[in-house]
Amino acid sequence: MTSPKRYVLFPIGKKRFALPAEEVAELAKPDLLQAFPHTTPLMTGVLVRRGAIIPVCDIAQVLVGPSAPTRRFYLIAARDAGRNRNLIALPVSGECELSSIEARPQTGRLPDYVTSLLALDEEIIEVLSLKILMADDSMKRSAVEGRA
Amino acid sequence: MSVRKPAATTHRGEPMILFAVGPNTFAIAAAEVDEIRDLHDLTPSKPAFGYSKIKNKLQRGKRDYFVVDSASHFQMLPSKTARLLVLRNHPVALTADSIDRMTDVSLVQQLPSAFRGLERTWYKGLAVLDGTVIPVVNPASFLSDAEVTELRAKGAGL
Repeated sequence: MTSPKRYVLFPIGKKRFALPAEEVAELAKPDLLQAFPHTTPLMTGVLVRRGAIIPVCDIAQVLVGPSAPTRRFYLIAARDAGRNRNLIALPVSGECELSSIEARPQTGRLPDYVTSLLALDEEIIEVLSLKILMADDSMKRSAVEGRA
Repeated sequence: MSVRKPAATTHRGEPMILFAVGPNTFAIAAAEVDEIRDLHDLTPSKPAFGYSKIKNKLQRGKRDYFVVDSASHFQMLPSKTARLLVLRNHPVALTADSIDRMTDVSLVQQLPSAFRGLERTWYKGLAVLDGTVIPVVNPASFLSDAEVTELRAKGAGL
């Protein structure tokens, strides 16, 4: 068991996922997504926020597959800790919730990017590692296969 | 003691040409463009395996140029090509649907590191003009020196 930490819970479709609160910068309303040609899987474009260019990564394709419902907000999170705190915008389908919960280690055959689990009433929420989720191999594989 | 470059590449009011390919607008440093012209005087290029983006060639004075189809280079749907940007330092003429305008770009920001595909070679960075993000193309990405040599060896040149 690990001690309680703060997590931001966010919905994608009918499921909720979590990120450690210290990795989340803000929840933003949909801004103008700007796209340009590229070949990186899952990247859908960029946002301009306060003069900064923030890449947008549609992780819903990995987490719930291509049938994910329309995303309504952007959760802006840090992909890397420390000095290289590269921000990334994650489209999510509803409002987020901040919660202090005790995490449980992930067991079984969950993907590597699920670092632990949160038990909340009857809901089990996967805590994600953006760093692992967005690793090159993971993104390529997931963009092709998705995850039911 | 060496000094690290800042994260963003800055150009103090560097003149750039904005051009359209399909629904996208790109920027290229004006200093990299020798001429903007129409599509006259193009001749079909001998097809070369692996170089489907080159279908035509252009002879201009004593120099010959490979005409790179921009839509194909950027892996976009075919577009209505109407103009050519003849590059100054590369034997490349680049197709464009239209020339938007010339403008001074004061800041070219690095492409976010989350982008890890071919775009890292396609672009020098991103410019924000009136809130619109415009990729600044890297002229050297259209054909490398090795590719030019290979194309000429395959007889695709003039």
